[in-house]
Amino acid sequence: MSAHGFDVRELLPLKPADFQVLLVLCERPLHAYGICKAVEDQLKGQVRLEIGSLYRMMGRLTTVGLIEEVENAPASVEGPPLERRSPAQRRKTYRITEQGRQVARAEARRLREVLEVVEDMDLLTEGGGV
Amino acid sequence: MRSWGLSFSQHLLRLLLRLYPGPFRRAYGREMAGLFRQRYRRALVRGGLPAVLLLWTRTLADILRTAWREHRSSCLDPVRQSPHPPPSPFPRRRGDNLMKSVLSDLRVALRGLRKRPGFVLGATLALALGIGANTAIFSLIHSILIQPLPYPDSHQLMMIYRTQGDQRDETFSQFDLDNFSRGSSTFSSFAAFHESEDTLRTLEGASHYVSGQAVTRELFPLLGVEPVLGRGFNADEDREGGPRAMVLSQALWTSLFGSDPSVVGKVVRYQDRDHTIVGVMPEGFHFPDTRTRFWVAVQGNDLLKRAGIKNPSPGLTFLRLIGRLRPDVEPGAAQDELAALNQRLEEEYGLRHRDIVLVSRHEAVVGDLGSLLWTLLGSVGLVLLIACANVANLSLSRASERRREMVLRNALGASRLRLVRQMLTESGLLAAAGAVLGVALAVVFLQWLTAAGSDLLPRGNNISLNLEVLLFTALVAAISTVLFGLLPALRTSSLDLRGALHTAGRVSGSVSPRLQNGLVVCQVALALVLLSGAGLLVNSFIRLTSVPTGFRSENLLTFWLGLSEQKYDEPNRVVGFFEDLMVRLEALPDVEKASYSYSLPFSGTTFRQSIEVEGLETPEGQREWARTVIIGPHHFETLGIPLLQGRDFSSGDHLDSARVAIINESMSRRYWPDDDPIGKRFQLSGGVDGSIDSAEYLGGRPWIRVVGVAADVVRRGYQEGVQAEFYVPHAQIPWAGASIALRTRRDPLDLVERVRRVIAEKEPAIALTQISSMQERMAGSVLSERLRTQLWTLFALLAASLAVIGVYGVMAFAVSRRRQEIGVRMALGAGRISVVKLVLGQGMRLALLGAGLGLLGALALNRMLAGLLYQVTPSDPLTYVLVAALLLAVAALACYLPARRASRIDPLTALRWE
Repeated sequence: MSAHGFDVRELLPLKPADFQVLLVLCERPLHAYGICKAVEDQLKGQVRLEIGSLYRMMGRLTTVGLIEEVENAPASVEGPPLERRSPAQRRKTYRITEQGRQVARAEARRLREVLEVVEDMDLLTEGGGV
Repeated sequence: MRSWGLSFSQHLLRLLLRLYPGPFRRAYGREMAGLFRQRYRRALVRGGLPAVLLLWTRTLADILRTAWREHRSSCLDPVRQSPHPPPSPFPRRRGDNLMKSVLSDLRVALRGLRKRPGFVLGATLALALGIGANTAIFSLIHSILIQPLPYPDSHQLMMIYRTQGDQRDETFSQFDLDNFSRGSSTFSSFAAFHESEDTLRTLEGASHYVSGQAVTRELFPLLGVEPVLGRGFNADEDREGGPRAMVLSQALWTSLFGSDPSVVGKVVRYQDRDHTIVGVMPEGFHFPDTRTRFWVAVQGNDLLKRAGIKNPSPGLTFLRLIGRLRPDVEPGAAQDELAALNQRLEEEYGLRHRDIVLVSRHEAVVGDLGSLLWTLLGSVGLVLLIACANVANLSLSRASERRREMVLRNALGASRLRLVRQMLTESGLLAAAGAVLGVALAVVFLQWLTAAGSDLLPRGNNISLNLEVLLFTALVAAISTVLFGLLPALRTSSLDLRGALHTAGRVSGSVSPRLQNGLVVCQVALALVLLSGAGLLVNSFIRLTSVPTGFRSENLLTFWLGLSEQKYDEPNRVVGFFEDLMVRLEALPDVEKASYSYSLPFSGTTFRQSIEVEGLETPEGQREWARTVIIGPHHFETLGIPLLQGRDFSSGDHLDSARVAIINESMSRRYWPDDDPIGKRFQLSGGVDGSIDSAEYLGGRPWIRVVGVAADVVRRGYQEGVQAEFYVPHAQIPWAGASIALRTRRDPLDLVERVRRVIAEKEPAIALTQISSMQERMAGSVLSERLRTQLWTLFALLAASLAVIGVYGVMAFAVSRRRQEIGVRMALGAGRISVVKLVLGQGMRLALLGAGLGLLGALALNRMLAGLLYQVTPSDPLTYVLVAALLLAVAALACYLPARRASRIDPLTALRWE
């Protein structure tokens, strides 16, 4: 149970794509295109987020409170300055919430435990393991 | 293309976004459109049209899937209906009840269609043919051209070639490989490979003639593919004299070892040496092509050593090279770098200069198939247009029929938009039925195609109907719906509905025949474009296969025999083996004659040799070329090649006697046009720099005396025709492999088992390969031309049939519409013949107009086929006349049937008819 009164374990394990999005948002707030590019770069193009799937995910993560929309995008977000953007250019920017960080951290810990089991079984060396 | 393509895509996407529930769309619709726009631009810049098509298929799949899920979850969890306060870019509309009203439209449409089974059947069939053909060809394009090769970052893989003028050389020497590997900074690694074919024997004694590749150990890491069992080659196995190792393909692992997981470590015998199996490659790994069954290590200049060449030089090229570019390196920069390295080596060793060309691995695999497939997609696109025009015409014919229904619905409050939507739903259902049937047809077609030509199609094993192809089908069906549904829907709903109420059901406000006539003209024109293309290809194919071959091809069995070079290391043993084998084979009942040759016609194994003719001055820098054909005794007799002058080889022509040759007519005409060539002499002038010196293989360079002249024979294939050739006796160049030819008295393939037994008795360790009749070989040599012609003709006939059915439909409808008028004419004294003339004339005017327009279109479009034609020009008048005459004749028949019906109308009945 966290200090904010919700149990992060209820949300685990995260879907791989959800986890990946939380990871890229841990670094800085991003708009959707930035999120797609960051995820594709991080996974060397092995995963591609299509538009429908991406926005369903953003809706879901926002609803459970792991990420939130930022009204005024920070200056670090690429593109022209905010005041010079047309309404069409004012893209929604997302940032991770404190709860989101906790959940991402908990998921990372869970994955580390899984990896430790794998290493104990010696599965990653050629010819080793069961 | 960029701006209208983007604008069309955005409109289409906006329509598709309406599939999402309203709240979701309002929250994210605009953002999604923006993100799609960015991706579209990026795809267009990076990969052009194929990349845009791929983006669309992925996006479409994703939208269909996620829209359905969003609907489902918003039903299950209504709270999620409004996840955010919606500052809506898409204002709320009545369309939010879209799903409900779509369902209602579907119900009504199904009810309506059930009442008209004939129309539904005809329309579905026409659409199935059009959509099916498009699905099939797109699945080929998707599998072969669009899908990346199955290697990580496959765009970085480059084949390296050398060119001089139009000539491309794909082979390099070990010196080149070392030069590039040491000097290049733009490539992360290089690998080399060359073909290796021989009999492979297991310890259990099974022999198989298999084709594989000798590769450097860098190949598998460079491609980024690891064996599923065991490992690739190590440095020890790749050096000269190292332990011999072999990696198996899945196919060989399955066929030879029954997928035995403990195969690693087993030993097989290949090229008279023990090889240890060290790994098995994954399913679907085919490098460089699907024929490859295994890989062994190159081991430096091993190939040259086995050929008896002791001192490798940069001119002895036999390796093909592939390299992986470092990330973010442009191929142009890499090409410049390799060209500079190449030039340095050329200068160092005094070789002639050639350019370096980089070709992406994908392009090298696909070859020139791309243009053929895109042209075929164009042709099936025309088929679809014709099918749509057909269905549109059928629907237009029914427009007046449906008047009452439209009047009623309009009176009950349905707006014109609602009526149009209702009719489009019907069209959508028809297109969906056509798509389902079309996919079934495409499956059948692809099965036939892969059976007929999987070896001819690069990546032929990759062809399948996957999700992306099915989405393309859905897109085609949707476009078809608009193409054939919108026009009739607009026309039908624009009839004077209110006025129609007052006419109490009499036919009025009917659709103008001009529209239908226009559609028929278009159909005939499009069909003629396709038919003329098919006519040109058929004409070209007939000319190609009627080239006289110069020998008797019937009842000729052929196969290849390769002897062990260790066991048969003495020339006399090799000659003795083949001569004795011929005696045994000729003793078989039903065998008339037996002979052998290294280069049988249509066998694919031939080589050209540069020669010097005694007394002939060759200009500096030029060489004379002729093809060498090594033959055993009785070759001309067995193949039925007439010996025109001089004598055949005899037992007196052996290794120690003077070198002799029999030349073909072309060589005689070329070098001794006015002289008797018998007794004249020539010699081999050695290799050219940049290729293996084949004179070394052919026993050096003594003078060769001409002892006979034989008739010309087509050697490599119809297209290449006849070239200057000289035959030399096998006894003087006793190579340890040959194609055997048996002249039989019955179907040659019936004798295969008996031949096998004879050979097994003589030499059990030999595997027979490439067993086929000569006629099969000849057919095989034009397989790709045949397939191309068959495909084109199939689609053209499809188009022509649809167009002719269209002509028939419109004329039949015109006759039924003009029934009263015809009745009046007949009542006033018009005879049957004049009625037939009237109807026939009307139909043929349309067909002639269509044919005229089609001819113009064909003359413009068929220029694209120029590269595929043999001795036929794209504007060949005979083809056009024949094709147009054929189409018009069938169209005349299609018009005659309704005309005859018209001439049998009873004037009294017709006048009473409504």
